[in-house]
Formats: sequence, structure tokens, C-alpha cells
Amino acid sequence: MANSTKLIGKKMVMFMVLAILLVGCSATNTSSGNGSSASEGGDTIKVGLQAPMTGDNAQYGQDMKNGVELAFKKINSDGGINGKKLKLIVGDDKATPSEAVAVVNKMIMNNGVKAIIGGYNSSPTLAAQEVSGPAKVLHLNMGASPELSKQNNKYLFRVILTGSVYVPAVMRYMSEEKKVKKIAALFENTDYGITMYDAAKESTKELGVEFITAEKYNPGDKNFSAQLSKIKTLNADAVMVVGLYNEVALIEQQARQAGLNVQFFSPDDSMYSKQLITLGGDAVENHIFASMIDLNADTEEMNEFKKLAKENNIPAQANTAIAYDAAMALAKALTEGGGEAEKARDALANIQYNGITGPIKFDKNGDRSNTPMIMQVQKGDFVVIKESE
Amino acid sequence: MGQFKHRGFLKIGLILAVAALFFLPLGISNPYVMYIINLILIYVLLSLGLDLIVGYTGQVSIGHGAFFGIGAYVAAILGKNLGFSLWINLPLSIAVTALIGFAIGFIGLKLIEEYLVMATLAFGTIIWLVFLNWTDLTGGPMGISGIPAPPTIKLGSFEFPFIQYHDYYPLLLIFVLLGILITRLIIHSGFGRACTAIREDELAAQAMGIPVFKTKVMMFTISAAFCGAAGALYAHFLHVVSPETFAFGMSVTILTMVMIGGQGSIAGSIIGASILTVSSEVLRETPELRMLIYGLLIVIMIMFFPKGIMGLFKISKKRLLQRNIQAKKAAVEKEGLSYEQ
Amino acid sequence: MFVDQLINGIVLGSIYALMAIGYTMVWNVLRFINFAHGEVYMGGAFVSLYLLLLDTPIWLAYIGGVCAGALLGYLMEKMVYMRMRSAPKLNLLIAAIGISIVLQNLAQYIWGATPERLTSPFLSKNIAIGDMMINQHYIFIIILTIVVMIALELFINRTLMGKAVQAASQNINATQLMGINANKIISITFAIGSAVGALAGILVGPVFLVYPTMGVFAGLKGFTASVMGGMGNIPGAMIAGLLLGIIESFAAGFISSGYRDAVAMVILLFILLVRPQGIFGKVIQQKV
Repeated sequence: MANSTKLIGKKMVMFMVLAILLVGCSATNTSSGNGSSASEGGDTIKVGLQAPMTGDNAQYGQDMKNGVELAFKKINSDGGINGKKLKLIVGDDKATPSEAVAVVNKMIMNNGVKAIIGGYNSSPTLAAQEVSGPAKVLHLNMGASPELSKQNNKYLFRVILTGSVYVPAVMRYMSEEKKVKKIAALFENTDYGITMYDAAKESTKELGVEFITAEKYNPGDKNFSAQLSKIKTLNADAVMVVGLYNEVALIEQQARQAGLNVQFFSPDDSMYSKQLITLGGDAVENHIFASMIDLNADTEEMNEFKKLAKENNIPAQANTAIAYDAAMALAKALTEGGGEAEKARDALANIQYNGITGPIKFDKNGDRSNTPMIMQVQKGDFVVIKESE
Repeated sequence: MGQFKHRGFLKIGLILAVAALFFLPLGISNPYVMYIINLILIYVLLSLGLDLIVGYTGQVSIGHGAFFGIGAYVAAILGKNLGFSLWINLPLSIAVTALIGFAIGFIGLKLIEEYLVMATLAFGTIIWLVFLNWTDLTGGPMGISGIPAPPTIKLGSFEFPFIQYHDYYPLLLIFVLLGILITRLIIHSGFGRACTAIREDELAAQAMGIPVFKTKVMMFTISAAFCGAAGALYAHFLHVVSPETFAFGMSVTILTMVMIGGQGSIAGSIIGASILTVSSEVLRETPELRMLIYGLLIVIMIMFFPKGIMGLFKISKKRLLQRNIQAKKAAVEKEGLSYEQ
Repeated sequence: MFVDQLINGIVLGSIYALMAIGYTMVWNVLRFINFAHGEVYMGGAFVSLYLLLLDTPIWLAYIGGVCAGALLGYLMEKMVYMRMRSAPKLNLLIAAIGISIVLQNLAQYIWGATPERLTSPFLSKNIAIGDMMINQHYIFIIILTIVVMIALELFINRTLMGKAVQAASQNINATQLMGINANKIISITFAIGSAVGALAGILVGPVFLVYPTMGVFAGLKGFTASVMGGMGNIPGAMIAGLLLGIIESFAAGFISSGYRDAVAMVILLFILLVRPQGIFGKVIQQKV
């Protein structure tokens, strides 16, 4: 009996070995089909979108997808890139580093994408660019962390402004115009939150303000009562929140409920979304932040974008516009590059393009050097209170 | 005699098949497929480890994702901060995981059935929260990236560097084969049989003089060590670790692999790990529906194949045996003889 | 700060208590942990949200959410658990986890992942007690929780159906022999437990928002509370829920908010190891 079970066991092992071989082979067949079409290119150029499509940050991913699709539609109807159509491959990074690595791996190796737009969040982008860099795939991200400038990755470009531009701008405004002295910080415990707070702390000396406390929270947290009651006892003049709109809206709502009525501000435009106002209601009124884009601006590019968005039934959100700009700039670089990765990179590095978000050109770190404006939430809308210099 | 010959053939076939496995990368050009196969190998190691305690000892844990995480974080922290290579990190990961596994087993295994399930869930969640909140050590929600690849292996004039996913495959395969070998040695040893006795009837096992608690804790420690090894390999293979990977969902995934493949079976672990990994990667094509289909798959499998896929084989084997007996019976009756005589 | 945390704790605790009831009731009749209970909490909140979008009056939307939660629990039982009566408990557990993955992602597919705020008629008003400001919605949560607890006590102890549920929790097979339809009792148990769970989700919606994964940690906490109170002990679960909320709130305020969720887990472990019958439970003899 023991012998026969052993025999059966061996047979099973054999069977599985065969099964694995079979799976492996069939997988190769199906994917080599994909692979060849990707490497040969055919008449399409594939571009990946690495963004959170599910989870708490899904709204950002959806807005970005809308923007990129809008741009691709326009480019393709205008004849594409040297006659080739652009095709979007969407990868859900769930706003986490390991998922970002997994989807970027897949987009590059299996789909053969030539460029990647995204991620939205800093930490996933930092992890993912370690895959895309060596593979020489252009990576146009929307992370704010200053850390992204220090990556020594020639293929990494940032289509928004860096935190080291946003932060001093808003800090100066708060100290000069709002006369705040004691600031409490409440930030996301990620690369984004930590590096933005560090940048803010650096700017305090010359402005003569100080941070009296630094409270952290994890992305996805919903209950901030502990941090807020701590801040309440310290009598701060203002609270700096570094986070995304979900959390910003909740924090301010809970602050009102706890009776903490001070000025709230944020260093960048990550909460520039109608969702902030739907979720936060009256509580987010007067929130101040630095922004690179004003959807109410009356410029030629903005009006055209809004018209296009309306025609396609897409809500014209800030991130939609930024992603649209990224896709247009990328298309320009790909056209000039003529199918060669190296050339397309050089074209992007030297690009001169007037987008919705102003002139797009990159410095040697792949960062843009525009100056931000200061915005405030007023009566349920985003209003510019200080123009960019 | 005939059976003997048959066994000899099987053995040769087995060796050939395993040898053939090493040449698998030659037939695969797409690195993404190689990546998935490597992932499967890591998951096989995990399910083998969990099966030791769930399948062979009958003690259910939904906290093994945390052991996987401990292994991965130990390797990541040592590799990134101290520049240690995989060859130092792997034994250290195994040691640390085994130690923590032992401590948790020692505290938790006094509990039985559902209470043990709850306790492992609690331990797993606490460890995950430590990954998430001990920012100075674990990098908090951003995790640790830039974990170095294993150093190039030099054999005489041959060099095996670790650059592509193809290069990792033989390494992972060796560890999986090693894992299978160790599992077989354990389950066929006296210790392994004691575990099976505990699974079948704890009180009877105790009555027979098996030190039940000690045996359970030992098996739990070994099981955790398997997951720790998988974690170290994972960290050096993916070069990035972040906490959400090792949350409750991972523990569930590993347990589901064991359940769907079939508990108490090496082949089951391999099949379960393969099916779930492949289906979860294939479903990436439809990100909105991915987890929905994955969940449905789990519910349907567990409702209709409660003993897993290997359970199906066992049932059909039983039927086959029964049919053989009946056939023999019929043949005997034909000859005019009855069993009673 | 002390009073702030106390009020936060009581509000959270009320929610945990409501959640704990569902776990405890199901445990009573089936002796297993219904891991998908957190998804009932989420489902109820989402249905309310959806009804509000359709311009349903707010009270009707709340009641609709509670009914939807009850239906969800009932269907879960009828479609999956009932067919698995003879399966090992471990399989039931995995099935429950599977259901919870399905429901979370179904909700995301239908309504999207973006957190949304459920409307509450009270949220924007604060009541001043001395120099303390308390949100009216918090008071609403506390009052409603007390009402539900009393109603449930009355139902279990004063009605025939409640007594049948009690009988079933003692020995479901004997109940069947006495001519009570066990399946019907189990269905009712699931429906009531789920309705209460859905109510918890709806009450939380205006404060902590509604989103597909909202049930995960609420479920863990509710389940911890039910263990604290002694599995199967309904009044125990209620008190334990409140206690858990308060302890957690103080721990978050005075130790670290990152480890807020760890507090519940440590308590869970402690109870399991030191007093597995729960704070208020009687010692149960292990059946041999």
C-alpha cells in the first residue's frame, strides 16, 4: 500500500511537471504573438499609463486616463505619429510600489510600450522608474516629491512642478500675506508627504516661521481625531496638510467637528479636484494651496482643451489637463524621435511646447521650471489669489 | 518484478522531467512569461510551507503572509542598508522568521480551531501594522526599493549573472525542488506521521504518547521558515518590497492556493499556486473585473471542489479501485465461484 | 483632549457594538466567523448612498440601506453557506473570504472606488455642552445604537421567534427535532445580524465616508468585540464593542495613531489566550 501511494505520488509529480511545461509553452505561444506585434510596431505605437485605477486614489487615475485618451484621440485623428496610431495600455498600480513595479514590468516586457505616462503618487513612481530606466522607456510622471529629481534616470521626466518649487511659494505666501508664525504639519507618511514636509521645514528659517508639531497619517486613513486633538491643544496659527483630496476633505471636516478653526493650507495642487468640494463641503472653504494650473484661465490652450473635453463628455479636471499636456508633449517627442528611443528622449529633453499648463520644457533633472500661483477655495470654486511670478 | 521495472522507469522519467524543467527558459522568449513563472515558484514555496501546518498538521493559519513579509523585509533591510548579498540574507531571513514563527506558535498553538484562526489573523495584522508604521526601519507605506540582485555566480570559467528574469529561474527552481525534497522528508519521517496523527485526532494522538503541543509548534516553526525563505527570494527577485503586499490578502491568497490545490499534497500546492498566480496575472487585462473574478473563482472552487483539485484525483482513484474489485468479483462469479466460499 | 477622545471612543464603540452583533448571532447558529459581514456594512451604506442620489427622502434611503443589508446577508446564506452545511469549517471560512472579495469588487465596479459622503441631516450642527462641542450626528449614532440594542434584547427574550433563535444557539439539531425549521432560523439570524451591520455602515457613512473597502477594518473590530464579549453572547458583544472603541480611541490619542488598529488585535490576542470565553462569557467545556 505504501508503495502504491508512493507510485501515485510520483505519477502526480510527473503529471505536474508536464502540466507546467505545457502551461509554459502555451503561454509562450500566445505571448510571442503579442510580443512580435509589439516589437515590430506594426502601425501602432503603444504607450502605457501607470496610475491608480482602483482603490482610494482611483479618481486620479480616471482623470489621467481621460486626459491621455483625449490627447490620443486628437493625435490619431490628425494622422498619428509619422502615420502610426497611438494605443494606450492601462496598468493599475493601486498607488503602491510593488504593484507599480509589476504593471510597469508587464507593460514594458509583454506589451512593448515605448513610453509610460504616470504614476500619480511619488512612492510607486520612484519604484517603477527603476524598471523603466534601464529599459530605456520614457517615463512622464506626476509625482511631486523632490526625491524624483535625484534619480539619475535620463528617461524620467516630470510634467508637474517639483515640490522644491511648490513648497517655498506657498510658505512665503502664508508667512508674508497671512502672517502665520506657528504652523502645525499633518502629512501623509510616504515619500510625498515626508519630502514635502522636509522642504517646508527648510524654508522656515529665512521666513521666520516654525513648525510646532509634525503629525503623520497613513494613506487611506479615515479617522484623524487623534492627530487633530493634539494639534488643537497647541494653538497653531495654521495647519499644513500634505495629502490627497480624500484625506484633505476628511481632515478639515473632522477639524471643524473638533472645533479646530484655523487656516488650512497645502503645498501643491493634488487636491485641485471637484471631489474636494463635494466631499469637504463648507469645511474646505478658504483652503490655500500652490497650483501650476488654473482651469478658469482664459487662454487659447485652456479654451481649446475645455471645448475638446466637452465634445467628448469628459469632466475637465486639473489632472485631466495635466495628463493631456503630458500626452501631447510625448507625441511631439515621439514624432521627432522617429521610432528610436534615444532620439525620442533627446527630443523630449529639448522640447519647447506650449501646453495648457504653460510652457513645457525640462531642465537637466527632467523637471519643469515654471512658477506656481497661489489658489484658494472660495464659495465652492478654485480662485487664484496670487498670480505666478 | 514487473512493478519493480515500472518503478525504475518512473524514476528515470522523473529525473528527466526535472532536468527538462531547468531548460524551460530556452523555450520562452517573452520575459514577462518568465516573470510569472518565477512568481509561481515563489508562491509554490509559500504554499508548501503553509500546507505543512494546514494540510499535514490540521492547524489553520491565516497569518502566514506576515512570515512571508518578515523574510522579505529582513532581506530588504540587510541588502539595502548593509549591502549583504542573498547568500547571507537568506539564512538570516529563515532564522528570523523561524524564531518569530516559534514565538507565535508557542503562544498561539495552545488555541484550537477557530480560536487559532483568529489568533493567527491578529498576529498577522499586528506584524503588517509594524511594517506599515515603523518608518525608520521599513520605509513605512513606501516600502524599500533598490534591493540588490544576487551576486554573479562563478563556476570555473562560467559566469551566471542575475540580470534578466531568465537568470533567476534556475535559482528559484533549485529552492523549490529543495523545498519539495524537505517536505517529503518531513512528511515521511516519524515526526511527519505524528503531525498527521494530530490532524486526524488530537486526543488520540495525545493518548498514543505524541507530545502534541511540541510537535505542533515545531511544525509551525518549519512552516514559517519556508515562508521566510520565499520572502528573501522575493525581495531579491523583485528588488522592491512594500507593506500592502503582506497584508491579510496575502495570507488569504496562500491559504486559498493550498485549499484549491488540495490540502496535504505537494502536487496540490504546486497546482494551487500555478492556477491562482496565472489567473491573477491574466486578469490584469481587465483591472476593474480582476479581483471580482478572482473572488468568484475562490467561492466556486471551495463550494464545488471542497477537497481541492488533488481531492478530485483521490476520489477518482478510489472509484477506480472499487471498479477493479467489482470487475474481479464479476469475473470470479462468472467462473461459478462465490466469495463466500 | 480627554473628553474629545472619550466621545470619539463612544461613537466608534457604538459602531463596533452594532457590527459585533452580526458576528455573534451567526456564531450562535452556525459556529463560524462570517468574514463577509464587513461587506454587509459596506453594502448597506452604498445602497443608501445610491437611493439618495435618486432623490429618495433621507429616512427612506436609510431604511432602504438597512433592508438591502438584510437581503444581502440572507442571500449570502441561501446561496453559499446553506449549500456548505456539511463542509469543514475551514471551507466556510474561505468561502466567506471569497464572498467578501467579490462584494468589495462588485461595489467598486458599480459605484467606483472614490470615497463619497453619505448625507446626514445632523452633520453640520454642533451642540455645545459646557465648553465642549459635540456633533449632532455623533449623538444620533449613540441614541440609535441604544435603541437598536434595546429592541434586539426585547426581540430575543420576549418574542417566540427570538426564543427559537436562542434555542437554535444552544443546539441546532435538537431545535430541528423539536419541530422548528432550523434553516428558517438561520436565515432570520443572518437577516437581522446583517440589518444591524448595514445600519452601522450607514451611520458611519457621513463621518468616515463610503467606499468599497470600508468594511475590512470595521469587520475586524466588530469581530474582535464579539470575541471580547464572548462568542455568542449578544449583550456581551454590545458592551465589549463600546469598550473597544473607547480603549482604541485613547490608545490612538496617547500612544500613536498609526498603531490604532493594532490595539484591537492585541486585545483580541489577549482575550483569546487568557479568557477565550470572553470577558462576560461562561466557561465552555470542550466537547470530546
